[in-house]
Amino acid sequence: MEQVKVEELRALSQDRRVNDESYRAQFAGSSAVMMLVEIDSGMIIEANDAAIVFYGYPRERLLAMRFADICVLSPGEIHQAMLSVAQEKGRQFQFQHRLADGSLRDVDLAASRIPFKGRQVLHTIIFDITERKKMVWQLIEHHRILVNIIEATKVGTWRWNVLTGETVFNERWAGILGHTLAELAPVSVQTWLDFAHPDDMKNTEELLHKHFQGTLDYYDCEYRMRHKNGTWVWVHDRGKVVEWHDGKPLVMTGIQTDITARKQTEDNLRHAMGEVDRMNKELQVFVSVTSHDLQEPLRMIASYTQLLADRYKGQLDEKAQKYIDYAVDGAVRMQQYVNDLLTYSRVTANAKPVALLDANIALGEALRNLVVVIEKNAASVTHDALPTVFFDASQLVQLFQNLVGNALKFRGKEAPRVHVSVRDGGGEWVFSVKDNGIGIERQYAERIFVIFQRLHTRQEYPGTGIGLAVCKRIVEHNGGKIWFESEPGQGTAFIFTVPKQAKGGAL
Amino acid sequence: MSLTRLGKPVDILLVEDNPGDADLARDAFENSKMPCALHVAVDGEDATDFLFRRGKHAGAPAPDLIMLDLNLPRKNGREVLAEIKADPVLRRIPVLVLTISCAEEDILNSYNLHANCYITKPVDLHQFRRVIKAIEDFWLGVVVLPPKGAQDL
Repeated sequence: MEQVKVEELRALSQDRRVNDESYRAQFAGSSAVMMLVEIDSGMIIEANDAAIVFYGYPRERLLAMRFADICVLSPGEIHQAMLSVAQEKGRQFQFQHRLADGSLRDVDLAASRIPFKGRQVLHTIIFDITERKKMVWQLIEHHRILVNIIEATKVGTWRWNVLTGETVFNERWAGILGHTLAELAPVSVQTWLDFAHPDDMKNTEELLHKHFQGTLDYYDCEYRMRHKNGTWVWVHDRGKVVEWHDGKPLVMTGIQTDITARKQTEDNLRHAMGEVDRMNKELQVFVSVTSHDLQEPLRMIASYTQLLADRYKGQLDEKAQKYIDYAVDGAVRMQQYVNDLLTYSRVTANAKPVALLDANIALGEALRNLVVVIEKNAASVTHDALPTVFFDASQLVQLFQNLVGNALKFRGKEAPRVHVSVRDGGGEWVFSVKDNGIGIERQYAERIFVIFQRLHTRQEYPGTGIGLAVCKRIVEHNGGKIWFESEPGQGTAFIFTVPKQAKGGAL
Repeated sequence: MSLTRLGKPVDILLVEDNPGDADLARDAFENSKMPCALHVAVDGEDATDFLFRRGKHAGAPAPDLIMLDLNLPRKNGREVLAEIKADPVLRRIPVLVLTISCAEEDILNSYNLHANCYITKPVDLHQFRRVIKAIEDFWLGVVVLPPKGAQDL
């Protein structure tokens, strides 16, 4: 529009004589800013009303100024510009002009050389393009930001004319599929359909349909697409109809990202979860077999050996009786091992979800279970006020019971004194079960927590050596650690930690 | 001694697949003061056939007491227990779960299925005899059992 105006006016100025009355009127009354500038002196010798308004100077002041006074270029540059017009007859420039109030404006200037009252002057028409230029810069900036975002996020972009099927993709869209856009040309919505996995299309179409119907505000979908190398890549596709026509979608646009790596991770995780599930089931079978099948034969060995002894009483000598006792003792112990193994495996196989529970109550129950042993040993068991913890209730009882029971079992000559205390360790509670028993030597730090490891003969202290192994398994299963501090002959403190936050997921 | 059972032999159904175990039980009951008839079913199917008087067990007596092992071939003790307790007549008969297992899940499961008690078989023969003696004393001496063949109220 402005360009046309420039051309028209230029034609006018060249075809007509400027002293022509009608042109003079047009010059004066035009809404376009016009000035006449003398080439030799650079003086402004004529300016129309629009120019007066635009520059903000009184007429007589403006007509006393040089063109260089309003133009931000150096006088040399202006002279050069004027000379070029003088030689080429007409040209267009972009300058910055300073107004009376000091502000700068970007202007488009059309200049042509014309004779005026016997002199050569420049007839100039000035267009204020400040706003337009600002807008263009803003547009360029916006465009740059968008391009940066698209590049930085590695998204494929698409714009689809739903009616015609015409579709525009960016280079990255093709890149996700291992192609260049040039390889895919000519593209349309069919290009997309050709590459998408047919099995996934039903869901995709359903989601698109729901978006078109207005049920979904956005189209958001995950599906597979065929990669150039023959594999399938998973993409996350999102978009929205941006133009509607008669209530029907016209233009839809969106982005697509490659989520193959995430899907792979999800697959691996699912697989791992399945594996855990399978192992848990196997463990259940193990528990069942151990509870029943492994114990029956032991019972047969023990019972029938005893039955033999009963039946042939009087016919067996002392030695034979001793052998029978060994056999029965072996079977009974074997059964104890089997049961202990079961207890040990049950810590994880039968674990229930943790609950927030009062450790005082758990300790109380453990002490009730130990009441006979406590009385027999004339032991005193004391404790601090204990906190609430996230734990499997029966496991916490078992833990306290094993540790306090151990303290009583490995007592010294004095009456056993056991104290259960706790301190706040920041993210965890640090429990301690301290006794005045026989103590444990440093070198056994690891060994005592291993299943069926014993530091004494069965004659000294009975038992299979399961207790501390179960404690360790319980504590670790709940996300804590267990160790001991001991001075042989002085007593032992078993210390274990319980995280204040419940361990995530099923325990 | 239970008044209702005075003079009549008590029918006990022992569901036990291990003949060695069945013999031990028989041996223990032999010393019983009570006249009792011990019937042995060798698996879960055999047990339900006996209870529902099917096949070779068509003429079987209604037992007064059932001693049930959990680990059985073909149909396990849990299934047998569930069937007994789902039947309006059979469910009155006390079922004593008698098993080697001391697994918590077996104990809970049995009581959830309305077992009347859960007993673990001791490995030691003399203890086992004491357990059988205790069963006799309590279930055949102290307890009043439901009258045989009574109809629903």
